[in-house]
Amino acid sequence: MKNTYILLSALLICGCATTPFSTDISGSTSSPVVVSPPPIILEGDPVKIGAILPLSGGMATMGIELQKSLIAEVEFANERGGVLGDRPIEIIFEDGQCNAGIATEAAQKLIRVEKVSIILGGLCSPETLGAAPLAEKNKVVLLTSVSGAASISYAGDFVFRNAPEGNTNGKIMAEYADKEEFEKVVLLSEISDFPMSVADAFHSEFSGEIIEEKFAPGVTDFKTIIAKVKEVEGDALFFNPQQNQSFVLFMKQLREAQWEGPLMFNNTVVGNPALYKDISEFMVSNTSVAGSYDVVSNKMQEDLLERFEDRWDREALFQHLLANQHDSLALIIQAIDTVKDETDTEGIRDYLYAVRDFTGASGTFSIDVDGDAGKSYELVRFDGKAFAPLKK
Amino acid sequence: MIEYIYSLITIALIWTILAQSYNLSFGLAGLFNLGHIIFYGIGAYAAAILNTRYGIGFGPNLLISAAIAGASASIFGLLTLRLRGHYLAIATLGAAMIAQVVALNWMSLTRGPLGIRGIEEPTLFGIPFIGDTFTHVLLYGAITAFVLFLLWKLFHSPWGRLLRAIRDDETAAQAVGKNVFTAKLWALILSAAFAGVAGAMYTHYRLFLDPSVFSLQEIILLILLVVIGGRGKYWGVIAGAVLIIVLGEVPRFLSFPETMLGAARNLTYAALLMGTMFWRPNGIFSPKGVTKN
Amino acid sequence: MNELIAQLLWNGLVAGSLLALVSLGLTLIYGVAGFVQFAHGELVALGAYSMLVFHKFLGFSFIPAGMAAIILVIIFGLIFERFFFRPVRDKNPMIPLVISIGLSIGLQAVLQMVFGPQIQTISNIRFESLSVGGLFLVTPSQIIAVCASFLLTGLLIFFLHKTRRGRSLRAVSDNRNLAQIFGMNPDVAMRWIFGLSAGLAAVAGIFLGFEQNLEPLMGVQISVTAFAAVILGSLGSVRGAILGAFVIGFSQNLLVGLGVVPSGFSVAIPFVVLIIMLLFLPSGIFGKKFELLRK
Repeated sequence: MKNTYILLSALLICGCATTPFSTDISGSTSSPVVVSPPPIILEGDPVKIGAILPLSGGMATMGIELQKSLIAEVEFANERGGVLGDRPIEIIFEDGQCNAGIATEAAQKLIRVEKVSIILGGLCSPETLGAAPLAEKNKVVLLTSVSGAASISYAGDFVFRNAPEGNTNGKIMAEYADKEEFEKVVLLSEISDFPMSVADAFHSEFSGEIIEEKFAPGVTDFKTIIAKVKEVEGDALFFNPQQNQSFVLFMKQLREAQWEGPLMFNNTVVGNPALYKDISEFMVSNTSVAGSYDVVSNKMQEDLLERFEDRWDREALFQHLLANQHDSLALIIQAIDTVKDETDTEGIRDYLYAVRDFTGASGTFSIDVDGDAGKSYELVRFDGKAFAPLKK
Repeated sequence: MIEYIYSLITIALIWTILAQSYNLSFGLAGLFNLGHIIFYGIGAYAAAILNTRYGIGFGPNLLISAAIAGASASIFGLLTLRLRGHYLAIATLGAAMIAQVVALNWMSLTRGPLGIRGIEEPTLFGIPFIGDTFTHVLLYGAITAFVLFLLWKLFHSPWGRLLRAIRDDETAAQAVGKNVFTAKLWALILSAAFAGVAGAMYTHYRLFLDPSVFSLQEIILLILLVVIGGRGKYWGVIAGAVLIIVLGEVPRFLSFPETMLGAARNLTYAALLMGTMFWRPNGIFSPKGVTKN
Repeated sequence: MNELIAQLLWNGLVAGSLLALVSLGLTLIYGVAGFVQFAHGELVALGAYSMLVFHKFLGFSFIPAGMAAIILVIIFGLIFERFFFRPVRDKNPMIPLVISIGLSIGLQAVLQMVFGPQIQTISNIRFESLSVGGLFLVTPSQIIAVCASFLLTGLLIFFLHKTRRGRSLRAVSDNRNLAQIFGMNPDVAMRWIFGLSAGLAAVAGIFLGFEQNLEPLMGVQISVTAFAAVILGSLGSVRGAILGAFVIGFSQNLLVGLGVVPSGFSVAIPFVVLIIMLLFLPSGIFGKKFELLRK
């Protein structure tokens, strides 16, 4: 009997306790999902929109940032009258955990239980690719503002991407490597959709020799891989992860192994200063270059960031991603208003395919026949604090 | 809400088949196989690959997956059945780890961590069955009933009694001339085949598969289900399975955050398993008695 | 090439040393209590997480934090022995085995709920690695780990062979009933063994935490690798546990590092080795003749 008591009380204690020791790698903790009620009372029934983002796990910092921005933008939109005249937007978040299986279940919940007709997300490519078959089958519009895997272009008629494609990231890194006259590059990729797209493109575009290694998501010890990488004596090392967590672990062990040589990264590592805080000197001394979204500064962006700061009392991270998401939401609102019925997803779909020269916080873009916005990347270099555009 | 209940029932059905299949090898035949999840995983992957790459439908998939799982069990058995006790336990655990690693790395077959997407929902005679609807639950219920019926026949056959005898005293069974090794091997093969069916059902329900299906953590649920129902007891394990699946949802209603649900559930299972071993080693439906072996 | 091999040998030495600490505890428990303690890996994880709490959250410096962590884990080990294993000591050995499986999963769940599922680091201190003869790199924590491991192993062997208490533990391990007749108390033996093995596990956990970072399921990997090591060397054999640990530590690093086995398969190597070995030597390298009695 005593044993039962011990076990049951352990269960209850752990249940009631919040998680005081739970901090993710970059130091933030999870946040509440609360959208403030709009100041004007909008009469109509809410229009429900779903969102799938990684709110826990190795990409939570990015996911939560996008969530916060989306909350701020939805509140702003509701302040200005919502959608379809007098109906507020209600956004329902589901945690995708950067995992296709979990995103599939999240999409199931949103589509079957919440009955949304539009989903913004995912963030990670596995999330978008997991949700896509369900969205397609149920004629639910799925619009991602971040996912870069190439296969998303062919994931369905109702699947849209307002972000650059991973292929392009691989391509500009290859151009950089060629320009720097690297003859041998070691390519180390996480086995996941986005890094695989980047790797494929790098393979086709780079004219030198590539030594390739792969690692599974969730690996905690890179020492043996690093020993092999050093042995190869390449001119540069291209680290191509999916999750920020992999970056932090890898860089720590790379530094301990006294790596010397230029470093290249994909865009997942850009935009969060907390990631670099222990290794900034290491990154500067080994020229660190990455690809990032090519986003020109404009007034809409500044307003967007200001709204974020007002709402959450701090500066936003991953600012380049927030601009895309802002425009995605704007497009959705416009589509619904034009079609005059949020359940007419075929109409919304057709509207989206017809988007030409839309000007938003991320610049001016059109949507092509594959549902992509055809955005581009630029090269950025680490200057000790953050990644900044390479001056040509 | 109703969809939630349907999903709970569907998972309970799949796990009842899986538990009863484990009851056949672990409970009835006494094979301390910690790697049973391998056959579930093989069944699941076989169904996923056959469906997405070769367009094979739900019905045939169930049968083919069962066959593939059973075949793999024969190899598995030939390698491991000579071992006893702790050695068998750890060798089988090792095999489960190897299976997981293979699923993770054999990209051309399983697509590794990317997983297999876009698996189709069951379609029989041209009628699609959408998950979490009444008809889908009926379909899975019917399949479960049929499989459990087959298992019932096995448990209550002379062969079933032979397995029990082997479990209780292997040396004696051998002394009276029974072919112990063949019996154990067939127990393993059949239990694997049924586990494979459960795996295929799972694949066609969840519509997505990745190597996490080989998770070692599931083994605790399997052991729990067999132990709590009473090893070798047919109805005990079924009742236990239903009870446990329902209990496993309790943390959700104690408002545990979604991310901690898995851990809370595992803690519940751990507590139940240990409690059962302390006070009811023969299953909660038997009064505390002398443990035979 | 020389540098690579030297580095791999060093990595193997470090891995083997830490694994040996865990395997020793496991084999001792099997020897005295008759079952494989599945939750042993969780004691390693508890060692690492205790270090995290004492050092990172409570601010102790390394040595006091380490001492505190080791003591805490020993206490846990004794608690587990008293409440989870002693009550079922004289029953069929499968019962404590299953209970230890339950305990293992339960502890993993608790760690996950208290600390969250994400990876954490014990310390943000940067370790400058040192070059040895220009050939390979070592970090200070690795050096300390190897030294500590050798020292503790040596002390343990001395204890078991040259002290009265140690000899009585070995007697209980060889034949419990006979030892009881000679006046040795099996309860005391159990406590000593669980305490010692917990302490060794804690040390391994602390150094592993520095090497590899913490996550709630870290115990599983080390458990499972330790099982392979212990069975390789034969359950119950102290020399076997040490040998098994180094065989696995070296083979994992060399096979992967030299490209014989792709890095993704690294965790499976101990098992492939194990299963092959079990086909030919079903009771391990130092197979005890009395294995049949201990079914």
